[in-house]
Amino acid sequence: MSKAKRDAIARNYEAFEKMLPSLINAAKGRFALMRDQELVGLFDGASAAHFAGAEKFADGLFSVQKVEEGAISLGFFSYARYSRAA
Amino acid sequence: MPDILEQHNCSQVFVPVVLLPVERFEETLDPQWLGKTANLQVLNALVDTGAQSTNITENAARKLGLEPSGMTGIHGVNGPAYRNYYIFKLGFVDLQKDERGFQKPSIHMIDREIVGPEFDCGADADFDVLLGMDILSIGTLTITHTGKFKFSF
Repeated sequence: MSKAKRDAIARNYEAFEKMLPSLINAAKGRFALMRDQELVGLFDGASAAHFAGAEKFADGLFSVQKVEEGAISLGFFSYARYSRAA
Repeated sequence: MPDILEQHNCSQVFVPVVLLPVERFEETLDPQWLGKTANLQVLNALVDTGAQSTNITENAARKLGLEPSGMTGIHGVNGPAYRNYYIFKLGFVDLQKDERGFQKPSIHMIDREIVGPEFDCGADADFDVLLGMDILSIGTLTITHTGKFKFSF
C-alpha cells in the first residue's frame, strides 16, 4: 500500500468520525465514500461504495467507512469499534 | 447445501478458506470463474463464535497484498489502536475425499461481502483469519463430543 493511500485513509477516517453524529440517524448501516476528507456519497453496500470510488477516482485515493457506532466484539483476540473511545 | 467437515481438538477448530478481495468481485460474474482463476491462496481460519465479524491478521493481509478500504478502532491485547479494514468475500475449501479416496478440492464461496478489520495477534499465530458470526450465522454449526465439526450452509 502506498503512503499516499495510507494517509488518505487515515485523514478520511478522522473527518468521518467528526461527521458520524450527523450521519448516524439517517444513514446507519450504510457505507460512506470519502475523498479528501469529504463525503462523496452514501451506498447500501461496501463494494458499491468501493466501485463508485474506483470509477470516479483513478488514483485510488478514497476510502469507504461504515456508518455505525458502538463496539464490535472480535472475540477472544480483539475488540473493535467504529468510534473512538472517550 | 455444502457441508464443511473438519476435526476439532476439544480446544479449537480450524478450517481452510480463501478470500476474494473486492477488486476481484467482478470475476464471480462468470459462472466458470473458479475454474479459470488462480491465485486464491488457502488460509487457515480459526472458528470464533465470540467474534461478531470475520477479520484477518496483519500478516495474512500483507501476504495476500490486500488493499485496505477504510479504517476502524481496535482494542486488542496490546491496547487500543487504529487498523485498516478490507472488503472481501470468503470461500470454504472443501478437501474431502470422494468415494474412491481421491482428494477433490472444491471451493464454496459465500455470496456475502465482508468488511473485515485486520488485527495483530503476533508473528507466531497459527491462523490467518478469525471466522466470526457474520459468516457462521448463515449456516448450521455442529460440534460433537467425538471430535467432529460440521458447518452446513
